[in-house]
Amino acid sequence: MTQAAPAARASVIPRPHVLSDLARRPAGVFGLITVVLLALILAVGPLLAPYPFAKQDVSHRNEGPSASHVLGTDHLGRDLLSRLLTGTRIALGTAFPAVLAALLAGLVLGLVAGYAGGRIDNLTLIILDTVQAFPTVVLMLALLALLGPSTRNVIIVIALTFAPGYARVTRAQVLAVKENPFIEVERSLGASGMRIVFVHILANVLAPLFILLAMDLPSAIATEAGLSFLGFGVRPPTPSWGVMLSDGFSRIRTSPWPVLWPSLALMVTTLGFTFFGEALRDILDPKLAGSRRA
Amino acid sequence: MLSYLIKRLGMTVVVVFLSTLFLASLVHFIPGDPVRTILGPRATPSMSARVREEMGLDKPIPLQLLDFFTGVLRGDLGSDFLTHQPVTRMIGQALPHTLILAVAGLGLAILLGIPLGIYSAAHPNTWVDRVTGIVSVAFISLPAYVAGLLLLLCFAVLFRLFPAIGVGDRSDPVDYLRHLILPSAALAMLWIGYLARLVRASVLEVLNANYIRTAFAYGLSERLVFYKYALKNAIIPTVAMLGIGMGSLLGGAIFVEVIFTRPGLGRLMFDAISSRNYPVVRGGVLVTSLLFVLANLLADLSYHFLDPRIQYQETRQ
Repeated sequence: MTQAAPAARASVIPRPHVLSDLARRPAGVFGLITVVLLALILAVGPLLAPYPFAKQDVSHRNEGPSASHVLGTDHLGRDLLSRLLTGTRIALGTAFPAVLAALLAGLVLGLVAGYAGGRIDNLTLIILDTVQAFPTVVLMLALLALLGPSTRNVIIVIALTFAPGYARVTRAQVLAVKENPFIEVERSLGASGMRIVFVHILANVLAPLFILLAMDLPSAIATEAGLSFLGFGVRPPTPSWGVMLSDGFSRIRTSPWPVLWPSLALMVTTLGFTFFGEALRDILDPKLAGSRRA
Repeated sequence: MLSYLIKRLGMTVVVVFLSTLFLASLVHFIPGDPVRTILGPRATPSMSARVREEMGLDKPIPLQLLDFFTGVLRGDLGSDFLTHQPVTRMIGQALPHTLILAVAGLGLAILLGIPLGIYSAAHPNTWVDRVTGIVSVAFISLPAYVAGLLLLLCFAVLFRLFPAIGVGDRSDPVDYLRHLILPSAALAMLWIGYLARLVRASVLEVLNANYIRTAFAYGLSERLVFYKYALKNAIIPTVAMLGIGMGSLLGGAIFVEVIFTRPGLGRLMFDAISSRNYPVVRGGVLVTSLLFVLANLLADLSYHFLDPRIQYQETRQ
């Protein structure tokens, strides 16, 4: 915990009391612990894994928890704990780049639309409305049907469907900031449009985006696992939690464990990240964060 | 109001047009040859040529788009690759199951979520309120398929209280209902949490309003003020949200239909995508998004009818 503290403080928002505020909320503490634990597993997880994730132990198939296999084994005798730990990497390693790409794409789109206004703004809004006219899961599946299932394509598809959210938030922030006197001062001093957008306005729209990012991570994790569960995401034998669920689901009457563990992992992870994100949002009220410097 | 209505409807038409265009051209976005992607690498040239002709892929692209559009307007979405059934008929058979599932899910969410929210708002900062708050977030963050799998594991596999597969016997309402309980519960979780939070927040907000203070100042009883005056206004945003809920449940039904092996629109699309049956995928996605857009439109408009105070000028901000 102590190791992660300076990193967590430095990375997101320059405000001194985030951690102590967080510690006063039970849900926030749970969130923080989960996030730190996941970060640890991400860093050293494969070292903790007792077996290689794809190693088959044919004489111990579909077994419950035991001394040699702490969480039991799947239908090929693969160690569930090892697969679960490796799966953490897949979950975060897919969700994080996806959400980050969504943020970047949405940020650029929102900055341009909000600052340019007029036709460009209207056009952007129509595009956003169109993307959001599809139910998310259905749009993702339709796109993956075209692109084919793979980890890279899952990242692309999540980024595409999450980007409109960031674009809207950015646009709204830009509209709020752009009429401020300090922007007018900049303009009268001869600053270029690029400089105004990417230096002055950008600085004022980032904080809410990072909070949105923290809140979106759990849904990106859930989305990856869901798509992989349906067979349109990460491909087996890579032990994504969704792939493990899919393996377990088709043999749910033989053994409950292959379904149970990844379900619990997903539950704890999404819940932890959600609590963490919500606590962050409550502490660093985006409206306050935006107006404080404006 | 009228100008807003026209603008909102106009936007809906534009969005529907663009999404249809997107779906129509979907096949052309595939890198490489769509026919090869569909048939696989071992297809003979004559097979490829036949499929190409069936799909109209031998025609120029603008003509293909036009064909699809006129088809949609006539209610013709093409036919299944493999069985040659009309896509509209397949959707017509699947849709009622999904609609029933979504309505049941939403009904369950209303039945549990709204009372929870009201109770929490009436007793803020008690332990019931705190537990409800945590449970709401837990339900909101729980993916529908995890909920479905755990319910299936617990109530259909370990304890065989409910059936795990299918929709049951349609002529026997009890059997049909028994098949509906677990899937609709899995689907409802998110919205139970969501509604509980929403209702709590809006009730607490309304309780701060001046007219509530006035009502108290007149000496009306707490119960009367809360249930007669506060609740009436507080429930408006929730009722308007239900349209959006319906739309999102229709989209989310795919996981639940796969897990509980239910026939339905989601399942139909899932199977079609798995077998790369593009006409079915296209039709299914089109119908789902039409319903989704329609639900959102209704949600938007219902605001006005429920609360005449709402002005529409600023809604696009």
